[in-house]
Amino acid sequence: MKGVVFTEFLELVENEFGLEIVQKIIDECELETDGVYSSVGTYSHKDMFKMVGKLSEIKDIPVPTLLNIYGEYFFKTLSRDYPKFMEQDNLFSFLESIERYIHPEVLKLYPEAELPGFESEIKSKNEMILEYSSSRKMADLAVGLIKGAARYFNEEVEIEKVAETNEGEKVGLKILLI
Amino acid sequence: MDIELYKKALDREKRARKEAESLLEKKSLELYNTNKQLQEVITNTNLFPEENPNAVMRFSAHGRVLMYSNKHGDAIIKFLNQPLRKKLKVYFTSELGYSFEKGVKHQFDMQIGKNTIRFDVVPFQPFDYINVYTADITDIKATEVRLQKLTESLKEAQQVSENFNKKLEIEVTERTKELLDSEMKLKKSLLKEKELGELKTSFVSTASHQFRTPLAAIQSNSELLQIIAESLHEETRKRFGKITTRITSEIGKMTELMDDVLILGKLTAGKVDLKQQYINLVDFCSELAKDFNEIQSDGRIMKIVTNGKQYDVKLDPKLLTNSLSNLFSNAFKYSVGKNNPELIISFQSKEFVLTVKDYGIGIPKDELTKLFQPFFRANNVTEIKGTGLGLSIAKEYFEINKGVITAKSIIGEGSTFEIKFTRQK
Repeated sequence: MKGVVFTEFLELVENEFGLEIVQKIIDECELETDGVYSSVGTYSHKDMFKMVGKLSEIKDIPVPTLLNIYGEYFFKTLSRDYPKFMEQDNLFSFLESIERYIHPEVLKLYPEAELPGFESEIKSKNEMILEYSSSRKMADLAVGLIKGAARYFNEEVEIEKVAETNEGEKVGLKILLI
Repeated sequence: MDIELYKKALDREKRARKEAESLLEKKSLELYNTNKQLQEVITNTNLFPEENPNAVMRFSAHGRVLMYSNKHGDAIIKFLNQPLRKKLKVYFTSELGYSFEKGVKHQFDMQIGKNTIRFDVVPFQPFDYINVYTADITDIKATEVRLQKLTESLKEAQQVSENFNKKLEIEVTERTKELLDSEMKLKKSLLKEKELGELKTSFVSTASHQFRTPLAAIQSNSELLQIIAESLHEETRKRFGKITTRITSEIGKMTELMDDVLILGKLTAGKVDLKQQYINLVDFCSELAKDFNEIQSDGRIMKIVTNGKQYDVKLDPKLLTNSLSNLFSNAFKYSVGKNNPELIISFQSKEFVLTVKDYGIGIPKDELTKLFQPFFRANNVTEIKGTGLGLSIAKEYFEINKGVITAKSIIGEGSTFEIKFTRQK
């Protein structure tokens, strides 16, 4: 998992809950890097799960909710750092471009990256099905990101999990524009 | 407490930064190596078209923009850019444009200076450019031209040959016609000659018979006179006797002449058949010589000499008798008072020769060639009786028997008649 996921997460935790919580998470999780993350590095996704889990424990917020919130926040970072990928007309065409254009471009820079699959199908002007697939099973993060994207495109959405396989390895998301 | 937190946070930042820097270094090195590899590949790839002995070029924008060219391509571009070559340049660009438009491979030829260059235009769709490769086909073209000329020459030659054949056919036809005509004429001539021959024979035969009748009458009348003269007194009887003897003698000559003419006529008309058989030549000649020896009043004889291993010969005995008799007769006739004449019979492996030799008056040298002509008599025999037909008849007889006669002579010393026969197996 790319370092930027870790660095942005810790930044969010620092902003929302303060440095002490950050330190506490680092101290109490047995992290491979002792909490040292560079955005350009690559680290084990297990450490990410540990940190999110610890935070959930400390703040008594369910993990899915935490991932949702982080997803929305993370999208802001991404859209800022990669304006090239934001040159779409609307949310749906943007979501379509993830699989088709964005991820292939990412692979050019980081050939070893393990990116989730986002197969899309536009049902109508207001409805789209997005199928998330990843061994990391972080569909909730994806939902957060989608929400962040909607905000970027000034859209309001309702996201519903309509299918799930292998405990979250594949998740079908119905996105409705409202 | 806060300071500790910040210190730890700061420490983490430092370490993160260091990590990022080392990653950066690593990535830079990777990039450098990749670049270097790429450079090498580019250089090598670039070398490849540079090594090509023909032009390699790449164009974009429908053939108007040159993206790459090896040195041979540069030469062509330079050539096309000359002010005098404007038309060629336009043609070149339009040909490239065609390939671009249709998206298909295309080939065209162009004269660059002394050489004919073939251009292969290959569009490269995904990248929207065209590659141009060339080949120098000057030699191929020259060969094509030569081949064309050779084919034309061949066609001409074939035509000439055909014409010649036609002419030949015509000539052959004409010649054949001429030959047939000649054959026809020849047949007609032969027929005519045959007719003439038969005419002559019948004339000769008729003439001699016609002559015989009056001759017989004269003879019988002369005999009658002789009988009447018996009753006259001796002197008148003697005188009558001389006269009638002369008459009889002359009739005899005429009869002999008639006979000879008739014989010669038959011989020359080919009316005498050859009936050959095996004979003992020595015995035969001895018999014939005996007949002549008996009638020589002065006791002369025909001496016979043989040499060589004897064998039987195939000849017509009747014809041989006639011809040899003539020679024997001449030999005795023209050597009165001289030595005996000789017959030499020579047996050789492939031929046998009869030689009749006399030691008589001989024959003048310049008359030897005319000797066998009918009615010919040498100028030194006017006193001696003869018809002048004997030798010509003998010659005919010998020739029918397939022999060849020749004569040699020295005046005053004698004559030699030689007849050569080829031995028949």
